[in-house]
Amino acid sequence: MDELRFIDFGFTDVYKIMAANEAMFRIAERTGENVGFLWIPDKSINMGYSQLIERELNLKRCKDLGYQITRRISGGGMAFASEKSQVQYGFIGNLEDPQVPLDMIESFRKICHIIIHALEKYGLRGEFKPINDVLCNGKKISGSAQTRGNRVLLQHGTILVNFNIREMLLCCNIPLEKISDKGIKSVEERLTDLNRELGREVPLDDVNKAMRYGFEKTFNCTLRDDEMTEEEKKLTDKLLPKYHDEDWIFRYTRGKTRSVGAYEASEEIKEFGKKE
Amino acid sequence: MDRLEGMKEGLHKARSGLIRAFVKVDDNKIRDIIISGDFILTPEYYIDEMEKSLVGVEASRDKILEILKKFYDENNFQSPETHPEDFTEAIMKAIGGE
Repeated sequence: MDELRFIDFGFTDVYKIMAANEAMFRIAERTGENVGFLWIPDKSINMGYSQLIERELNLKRCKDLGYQITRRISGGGMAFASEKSQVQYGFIGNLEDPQVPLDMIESFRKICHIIIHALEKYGLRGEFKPINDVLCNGKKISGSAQTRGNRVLLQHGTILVNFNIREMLLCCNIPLEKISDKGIKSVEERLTDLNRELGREVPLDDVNKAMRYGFEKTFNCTLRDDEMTEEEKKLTDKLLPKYHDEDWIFRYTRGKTRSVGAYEASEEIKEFGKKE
Repeated sequence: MDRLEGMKEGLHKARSGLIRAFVKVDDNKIRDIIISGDFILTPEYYIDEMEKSLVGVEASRDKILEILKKFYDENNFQSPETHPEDFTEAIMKAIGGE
């Protein structure tokens, strides 16, 4: 690709950005257009499609600490965003594009190079660890998730900059006594962030620039700055209530969806994707 | 969380992530099932379809594995390094567990 359509969403809340991710993905299923995007998440916990959230999280502690919780359409694990802790990215890629591998692990490998090239900007060496992680000095600094339609894939993920491990542990459904210095240390052995690796505070705006470079380098393209189209904005607004909806967030146990097969309100959305 | 009452939990670590199965068995048949976790399988609605394919199935390893292998054969999804055997393992741990 010579040029990649690119949107910088800036600082945003998790509900809105997940609705925007889904809207752009659904519409790209019809248009086949590649898009890259970045955002800085507000304090939030973004759970995978199949996670039983009421078991994974301590909802009271999440609430007390001021975390917004939602569920996304892609699988994988928790994306935990403490305050000003990271930059997140999205990439929608046409599966017919030679730069977008059909094999899932190979596509993770390719798209995770955005992170690896961004780390280069800081003189750090990132290493792709299958299936969906990037390591820096042997520790995880980035995780990604991916969902696929018939024509495009959506991959989204994070690069950790200033991550609060203690708050993550508090929000997880584990006993308080395990959230000790020792417990935190054991996570620190597996998880890192840019500030720790560099021994200084990196501004998130600076990481944004490095991520832009990562996109350019990965796809050998220039970025064409853009905004969402009217159609994308309209579908984002239409999808927004879903990301607040407890029937979606707690889809295994709440209200009308508490049965095998869960939340199936996506039919009208599939339909929307087809319409002109 | 009424639905979870009477469901037993089984964990199995697949290469793409942890599978947490919740299963309710009655009269040696699977009556209700949740296949949760942070594993990777896309398009994701096939996970819901997988749950549906298991309701009413005899609660035995052979039968569950047979149904899941058939499910993999008949449907078009990707689940890198996560196989019918992984889901069967989580479900069997739930059936035999607390």
